Amino acid sequence: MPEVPHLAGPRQRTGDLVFRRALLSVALFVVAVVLLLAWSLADGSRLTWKSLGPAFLWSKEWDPVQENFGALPFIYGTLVSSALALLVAVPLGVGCAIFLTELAPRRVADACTFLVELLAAVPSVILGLMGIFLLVPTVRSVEPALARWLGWSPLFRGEPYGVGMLTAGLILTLMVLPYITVITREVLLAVPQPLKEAMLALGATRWETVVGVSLPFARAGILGGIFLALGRALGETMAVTMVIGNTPKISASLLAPGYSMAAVIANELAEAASDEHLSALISVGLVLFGVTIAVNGIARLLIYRVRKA
Amino acid sequence: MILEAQALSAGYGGPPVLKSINLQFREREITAIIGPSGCGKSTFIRCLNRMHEITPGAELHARILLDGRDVMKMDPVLLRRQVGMVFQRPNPFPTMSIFDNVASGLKLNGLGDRRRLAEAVEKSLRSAALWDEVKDKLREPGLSLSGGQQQRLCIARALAVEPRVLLLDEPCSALDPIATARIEELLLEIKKELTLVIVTHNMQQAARVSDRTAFLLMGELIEYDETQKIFTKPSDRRTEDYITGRFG
Amino acid sequence: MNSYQRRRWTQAAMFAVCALCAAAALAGLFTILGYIAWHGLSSINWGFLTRLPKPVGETGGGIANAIVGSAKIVGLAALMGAPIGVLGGLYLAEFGSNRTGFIIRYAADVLNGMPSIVMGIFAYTLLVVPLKRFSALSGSVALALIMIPVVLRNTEEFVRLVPHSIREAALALGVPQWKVVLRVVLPTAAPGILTGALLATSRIAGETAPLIFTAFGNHFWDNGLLNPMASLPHTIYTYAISPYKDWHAQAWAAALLLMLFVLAVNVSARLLFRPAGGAR
Repeated sequence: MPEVPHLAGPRQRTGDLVFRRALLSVALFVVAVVLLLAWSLADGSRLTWKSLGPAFLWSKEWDPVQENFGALPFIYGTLVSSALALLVAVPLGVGCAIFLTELAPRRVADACTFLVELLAAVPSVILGLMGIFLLVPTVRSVEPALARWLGWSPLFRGEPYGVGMLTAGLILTLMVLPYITVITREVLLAVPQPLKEAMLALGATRWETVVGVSLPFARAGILGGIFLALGRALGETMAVTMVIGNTPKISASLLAPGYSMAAVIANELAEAASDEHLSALISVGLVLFGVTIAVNGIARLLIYRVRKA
Repeated sequence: MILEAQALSAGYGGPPVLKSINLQFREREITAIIGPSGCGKSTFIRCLNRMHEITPGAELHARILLDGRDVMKMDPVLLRRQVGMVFQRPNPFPTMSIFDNVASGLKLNGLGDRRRLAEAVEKSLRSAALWDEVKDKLREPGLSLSGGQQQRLCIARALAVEPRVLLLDEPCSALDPIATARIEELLLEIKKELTLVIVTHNMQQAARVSDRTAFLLMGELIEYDETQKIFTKPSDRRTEDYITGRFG
Repeated sequence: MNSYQRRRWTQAAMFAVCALCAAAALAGLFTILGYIAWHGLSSINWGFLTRLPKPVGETGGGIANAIVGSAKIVGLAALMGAPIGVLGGLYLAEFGSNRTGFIIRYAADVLNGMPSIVMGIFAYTLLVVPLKRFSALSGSVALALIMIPVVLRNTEEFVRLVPHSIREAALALGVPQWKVVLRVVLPTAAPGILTGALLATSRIAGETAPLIFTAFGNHFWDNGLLNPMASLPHTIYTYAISPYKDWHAQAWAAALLLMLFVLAVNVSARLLFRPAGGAR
């Protein structure tokens, strides 16, 4: 982005100085919020870390009544549902982006891009509503078939509840699909025309140009988009909690109900029975905070490298 | 002598773009500054109203006197009210109407009296030879005018704050010949009230319009004399080569 | 089939797959919109919009308190968040090319990627715990904190887009820099900034998670900002997970209302203001 010109003179007028300082103090508020947020999460979870230590992260039991707190079921649930979502959303999103950049005529592509972006604007709770009343019954009716045909693998065993990891993964797919599509489309549009033309001039088909030139060129950006989508999926709360089953158990099967970090916080924070319970929930929040920063940091690095080019 | 530059050297952080230039501008005259691309003429006039400093990394070492007062010791904001500028590409403020564009310099500096504003706007638009064309559509957006009209609008805007000197940085280079001719005409009218300094890469324009011409080459002032003399009997060989087109 | 034909066939097949992907995405969107319209329209009537909820189990209640509550909570959040975001973005655009600007930008990006439930925890520890009550104010604070970084980065982008020539023209008139920024640059960037603020408002209007344990929800009219307040998304959630069919129908209707609001803002924002050169 271009540098904005401003007075570099030795003497700044007072009006300009006051103006700059005032704006700075407002902008620094944002930094203060981040620091305060980190501190308050750390402070609120101190009880848990003191009494349980890092074992909190890999303990499987979550029983507020017995005051047993282990975050593993939620970490597991969050990771698995997000991974599942990416597994489906990445090919779909990239395919959709290729359609928008290579296939569709300009006006159709513009309209479709707008519609895909609209999908990102649908509030999470509404997607959850769709999840409960449309997706869950559908999955419930499909699950017996899955269990029968794929039940040899531990991934598809269990009762057809309808709610569970599979459903959560599918609903998350809907949420992250627009992000992957939009970012992939952006980076594909940024592939230099001369590069593509060189490939075409060698006699390649348009598809071969996409695979041979465009996708490799856009690789870092697409990866960045995937990490961004992952960050989104990890923190997604409402849609997930409405379809995942809210059971703090770890199971290999995708058909089994599970739990996620964001979901347990949403369900239990308001009625946290004891200080230990509250602290455990805030600790889960701290884990979510840390994971999000890490994933988004990677995403930003990848996308930044693309924007520079 | 209304404006004077002494030993003016300027650059952008690397090798100097202008090397110790001495130039004086007489009141109510048009001085043209000519020279090949990259010779520093735009940089030079941007020093005169201290717009050069705005570029990050800019350096300026000079004594510039306006009516004998050292410009470098002045508040640049006050300086610019006395030394105005018209840019190469017309740049009317996009969110403002024609009226508001012309009045902007006055309004932003605190003048609120609507009657006085209206008077000032009409006066400036007349000086810029634009009044008759826009008097019925003063509330229309500034951008709705043609390129040549927009540039005259920018001239009116600059004139409205009643500067002593008006700097023009290749004001016609983005315009067609007819618009250019109209602006050249109005410059000859304006010089009756103000001092004008015009940078141009068009030698014929300099010959048509200016009283004195300065020839810059690679950051140095080669020759500065009456326009007639520069274009018929230049003293320096390099000036002659440039004017006759041996290099450009 | 020779090699060339095979390659063309591959292209046709793969492009067909891509078209299917796009169709799937659009099908998803239209299914959602269609479903909401279908299920929601039947339950919307004037009474629904103006009545309070009936006690659990009884039919025929309304969501008037949720509509008003959302308006209040979101309105307050926007009032708090938009100015901070705009001023902060203005700083970054005008003065933010140094180390401090980098830090501020990084912090804004961190907040931008933060799950809304984490911001809810923050508001909970900041306001709910000390005041010992759930309050609409804490909900607004959570939403404002979500809104600020979005508006900030958007403002920065649009202020940077204002051409140099405009700034120079104003400076050359002898106008001090702060006036140039406030009275020339800001108005020029205003359409983009406003659109961004509107879109951000529509986004927080749909947020539920942070409100669950801050504003907490309320079955009656609210009792002021320092007490729990109902909101549209929270009501949708509560009704959806309940076992009552009547409440399910109301959840669809409320979802229709929310979706209409989101659609209205998004569509008008895109139509009224076409971003220049790909800026979103």
